[in-house]
Amino acid sequence: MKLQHLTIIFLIIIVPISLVLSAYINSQVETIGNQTSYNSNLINATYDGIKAFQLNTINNSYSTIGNSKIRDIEASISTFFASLSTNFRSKGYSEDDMRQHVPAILFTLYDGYYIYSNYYNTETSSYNYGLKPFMYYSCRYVSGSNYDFVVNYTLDNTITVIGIVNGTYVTKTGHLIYDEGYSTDTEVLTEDLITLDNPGVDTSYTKDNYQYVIYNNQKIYKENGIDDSTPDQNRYFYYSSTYSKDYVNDLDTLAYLNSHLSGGNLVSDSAQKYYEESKEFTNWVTSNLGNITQDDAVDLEGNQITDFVTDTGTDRIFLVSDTNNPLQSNSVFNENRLCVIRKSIETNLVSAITNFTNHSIIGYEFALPQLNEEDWEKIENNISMVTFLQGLPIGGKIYNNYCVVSNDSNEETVGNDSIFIIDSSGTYHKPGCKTLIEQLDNGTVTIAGAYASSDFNRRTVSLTGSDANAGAQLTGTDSDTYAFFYPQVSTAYSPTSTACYNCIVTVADTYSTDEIISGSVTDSSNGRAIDITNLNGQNLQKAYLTALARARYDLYITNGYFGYGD
Amino acid sequence: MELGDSLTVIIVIFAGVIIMFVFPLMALSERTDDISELSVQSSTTDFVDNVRSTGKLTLDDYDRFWQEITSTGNSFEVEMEAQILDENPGVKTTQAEMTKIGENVYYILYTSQIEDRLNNSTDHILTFKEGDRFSVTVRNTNTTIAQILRNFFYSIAGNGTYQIAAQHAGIVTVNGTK
Repeated sequence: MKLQHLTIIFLIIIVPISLVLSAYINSQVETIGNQTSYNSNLINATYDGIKAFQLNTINNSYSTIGNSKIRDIEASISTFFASLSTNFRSKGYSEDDMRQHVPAILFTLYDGYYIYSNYYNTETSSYNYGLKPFMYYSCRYVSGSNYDFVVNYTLDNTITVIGIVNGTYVTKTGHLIYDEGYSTDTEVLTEDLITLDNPGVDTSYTKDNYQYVIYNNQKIYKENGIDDSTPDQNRYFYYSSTYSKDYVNDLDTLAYLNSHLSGGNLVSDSAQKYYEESKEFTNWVTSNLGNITQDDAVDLEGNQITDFVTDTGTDRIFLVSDTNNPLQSNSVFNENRLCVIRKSIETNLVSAITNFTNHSIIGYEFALPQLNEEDWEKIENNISMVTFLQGLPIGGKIYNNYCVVSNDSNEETVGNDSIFIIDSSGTYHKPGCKTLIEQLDNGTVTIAGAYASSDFNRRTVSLTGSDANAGAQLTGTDSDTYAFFYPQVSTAYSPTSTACYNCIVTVADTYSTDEIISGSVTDSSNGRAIDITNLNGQNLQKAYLTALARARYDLYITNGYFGYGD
Repeated sequence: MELGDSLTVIIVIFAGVIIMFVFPLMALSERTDDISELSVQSSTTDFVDNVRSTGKLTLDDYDRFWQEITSTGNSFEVEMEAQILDENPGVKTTQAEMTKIGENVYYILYTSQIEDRLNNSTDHILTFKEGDRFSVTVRNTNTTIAQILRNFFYSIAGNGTYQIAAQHAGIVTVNGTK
């Protein structure tokens, strides 16, 4: 056989193999390209959704009220679908098409969560796509005949106990803390506010700095320039839905406010009350629920739950001690809190997604993907939005992914990292800011205040009376229609306060909040331990813990009516 | 054997060698590079998306990313770019209006600055804030077999001489915490 023949035979074998291999690899490249682009679209849409929630809750004074919250979540989900379908339109998918591929959206809040999926509507006898009823992070514990109760957990150390405890039916809500001897003082809280002078008549407004307290979950401001001769009815005001002053007339409220006047200042004792009531509640929990363990956890039918992700066995969940400090992430209480949240979410998501499959028209077997530990950590500790996108063909594969985006700057919850410290120069910092600690230590600045990070976000005021929502926040640049203010980026400082360029603005290297809670930080450059409870006379730990306690005490708790503070 | 026959045999041998060895080798090495690029693109996307969704850049993640891309057998140049949003409403600038979103100023940190901060920070963790942007571009710096073979026939000059490249970027979705 001649060489030419050999060559031709070789080519006949090699060329098809090469072509097939090339086509296969190209299709794989295309698939991974699609996958990357779908991942990005999903992350972006989910981020848009949670951003809408953040903006809406910050600009909505009633965001904590049930109906208003549902409205904000529905708006957020609508934003998600709008963003998703915009990104996927170039691939030929409409918004309705995309809905067929999103089996569920999970929205975790402070004390429970919503699942957005299809559900059976008994009124219309059909399956609708919408928010399912609110579900608590709850677990039932049964021990003997005297203990049969449900504990509703939250994203922090707050719990609600409902049921028979020690033979008596109780409903109690409170914060579990380990008493390390923290002491807090009363404090004067101030923030900037824009109020309309003549709402509905013209668009003139006044921006000023007011003192405030939170009473019965409502913020009440003290009018500036008042004295003893000022009538009670002109002293204090609520911020009305029309962005004007709504003066307090209720006698009980006025009595409360007048009793909190000290030297002409309105003082808040929220932080003090937080610790007092928490200690009382913790004592009650420890003495009544001290023997409850994970083995007492039962399901609806009363069968013991054995498949928690962490087995804490016979360790006593509610016996608070230095080794079971609820604020610490590795405490038995916290382990169980995480287990309960995870089990509750997993169970309900599996059921929602299975239900979606049963009524889906696209013929794909939807299933809950395995969420990784890092994602669970985000879900269990923050407000988050979890979206699932499944069943889209991407070349050689079917797309199946999920996305978790959490948010720590909203009105729903105050996480350990959601506190900013303002110094005397008007600059605000993260609690672990190295520059702040250095400046406090050498006496350049002092601590002027500490507030929740959501108070440093921009608020929008509609001057014409229309609704100031997320849309207005983003696009409302017309100065005749909207005005803007930052409650804590205050005019009280000259020229105004600014975010620290060493911790908040830039890519930051800060001490962790755990170190701030512990009261001591270690300088990595020289290994020196710095006592932050006495930085040239300034107590950073106390300022931080006071702000955290106050912010948590003033937070609206859905379960509060069950006997908060009892 | 005549001179013409000898010449034909030599030409055929050359042609045979090229067809039987060089072309398959080129095709195969091109596919290898494609697979490397697939792997690098995938690692880059995961790396950037992880920063976007956690708000954190850790030295561990960065090292793992390097390990993943270099396991393809090539050497790489990694360009990181962090666009830091400075929306300080108290700071007045000439080119930004504080009431508008979209006209806020970004300042940029580049690879060496990010690496420097990462190495010198306390826990080797850098935190970003919501609204920052993070992007990574990866290009190979070695000459792959496919490039050598291709240069044998024709060579490419200029900036586009890399064979394996990947790029991914996005907005950071959450405030990072330690």
